[in-house]
Amino acid sequence: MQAVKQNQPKVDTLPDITQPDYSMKFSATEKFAEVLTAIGGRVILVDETDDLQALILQVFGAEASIVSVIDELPFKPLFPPGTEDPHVLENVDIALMKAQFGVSENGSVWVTEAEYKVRAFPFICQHLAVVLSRNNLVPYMHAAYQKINGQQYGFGLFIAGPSKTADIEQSLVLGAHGPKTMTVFLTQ
Amino acid sequence: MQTVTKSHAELSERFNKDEARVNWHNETLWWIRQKRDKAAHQMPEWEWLRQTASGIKDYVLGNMHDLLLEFEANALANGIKVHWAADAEVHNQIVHSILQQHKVSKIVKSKSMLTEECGLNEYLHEQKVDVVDTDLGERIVQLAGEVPSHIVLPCIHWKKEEIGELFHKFLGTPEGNADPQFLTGAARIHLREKFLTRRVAITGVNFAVAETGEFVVCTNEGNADMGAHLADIHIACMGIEKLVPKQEHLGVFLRLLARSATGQPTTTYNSHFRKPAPGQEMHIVLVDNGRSRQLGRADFRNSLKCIRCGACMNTCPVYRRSGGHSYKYAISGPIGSILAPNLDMEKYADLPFASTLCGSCSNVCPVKIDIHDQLYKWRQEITKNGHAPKAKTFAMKVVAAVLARPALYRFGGSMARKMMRLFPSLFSIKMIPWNKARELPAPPKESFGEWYAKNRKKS
Repeated sequence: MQAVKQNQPKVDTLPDITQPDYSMKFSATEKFAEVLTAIGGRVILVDETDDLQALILQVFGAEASIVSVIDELPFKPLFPPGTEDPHVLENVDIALMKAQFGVSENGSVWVTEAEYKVRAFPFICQHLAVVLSRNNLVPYMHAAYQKINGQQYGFGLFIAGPSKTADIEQSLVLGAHGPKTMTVFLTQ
Repeated sequence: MQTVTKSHAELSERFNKDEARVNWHNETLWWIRQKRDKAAHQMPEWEWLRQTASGIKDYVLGNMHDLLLEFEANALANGIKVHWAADAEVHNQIVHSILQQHKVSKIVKSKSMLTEECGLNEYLHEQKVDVVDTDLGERIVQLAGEVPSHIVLPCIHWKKEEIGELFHKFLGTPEGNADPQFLTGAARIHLREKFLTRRVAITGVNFAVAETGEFVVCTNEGNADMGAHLADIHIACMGIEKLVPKQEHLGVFLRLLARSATGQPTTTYNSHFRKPAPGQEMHIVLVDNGRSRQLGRADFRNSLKCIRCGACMNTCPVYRRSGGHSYKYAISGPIGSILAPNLDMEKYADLPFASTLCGSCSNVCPVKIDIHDQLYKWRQEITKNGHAPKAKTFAMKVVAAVLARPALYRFGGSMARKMMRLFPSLFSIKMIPWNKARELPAPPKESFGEWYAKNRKKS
């Protein structure tokens, strides 16, 4: 640390990070859907009159095994009775959770463990489903951090699409270690 | 770390034996460079972002001491255990002592260039600890007994058929199956078992925020999270230069990182670790390993701004045709060539010469590191310290002597032209390194000096 103190140059000012006016422009909803689809995700636009629970079953099939951490959408509970060990989540097929907000420029959603309780949940499942209101879309990452500023999460993350890899000869494969698909239900 | 002592040129020569393969390697990386261009060109604010990121990192370099203390205080308050390591050896010992404390001998590790730099895998192997790298590319090179050849794309030098063979041998996949989808699926099953059973996970760190004491890990596969969230103990290892002052600065860097690396709008997972999960232990190891020394070298300190995107490698005409292993250092390519000599100027003396100084690396760098200028400056530094390749030093002395004597230069030039005309084969022999993959042009009849003297009289 002494060496760091001795060797560091003198710099007093931090640059202004206000997004310039000439930045790329787009419609928040369209861009979000376009980018998320391009990176392997799926976006389902939900109308005000739609019954979300019925719609989710329609999308995944009536037989689908869905574990939900959204109180208003009661499917299967996170843990079977008698355990809270995240390792049992290995058997979760579809994980359903709410996102605080989405970022249009890169198709990502911000979630914290406050929304989904167990950190491993969105990674260990085979498929991920997220409910997000289109009123909660921000255009850029700069705006995203204005929303995050002051939040007291222990763990939070941006998720953009299904888990993926292109390590074998640059061939894109969806479903590396985490979910093989990601579906965002974009509500009014 | 490899213990190879061969020069970059010798190792490149080995890589270049299979011409079709080198062309394939070259084209693959160029394709990734083009994807980066496409992503960058969509954003009118791209240059502003680069400039801003560079400016934030200037501030980090100038205030590193206080920012590190601020980060430490906030991380401790968040319940994270903070360790300081002066060099690679101390870093490795700290990690091992945590494992010993918990009597753990089998761990998972996600990608961390720092642990590659420190030779952690080899060290733990000697201590009888089984480390499983969980990034698919890293797992492939690990099974093959190699080290990554690229910081973002560890097995970019491997063909799918070879990976199929490797998986057949180690994971029992059917012989001859080289389908990337199938092989990735096999690795998924193989590594899931590791995630579910191992109690300690090591990850790297992409960014650490002084203001909040949190750190961010970026992956596409989700392997860092699968490891960290299913383990009792999470150890995150980071170089001290990974800091950003405030949380809001993450927005700038996350916009640049994936676009520069692969042309993606963002990595799939940008995970913000702030507090250990209930019942979990979280450690962070802050490593200097030469960084404070580099901070004191005014010409080279900007190299510490690097966010490890790999764009400079993908664009580099030398890297694309020599492969990552020819650099003998965990971080290869142009950025590796300006980081490595700081650690060992003699061992890595040849790296700053493994460049055409074309400047493409500096042009694509998301934090505007003057990479090619630094390569040029390292050459001078290395020569001054007597570590330049001997043949080069001798040749330079001969050239300097000749250029300092105009008469000798003129005589030498006319002799060379005559000899080349009379005995062309003497100059095209393969013994002369310049002739590798090159052909000498026909020698001119006269020098420009001679032509000018003649023609000026005419007019």
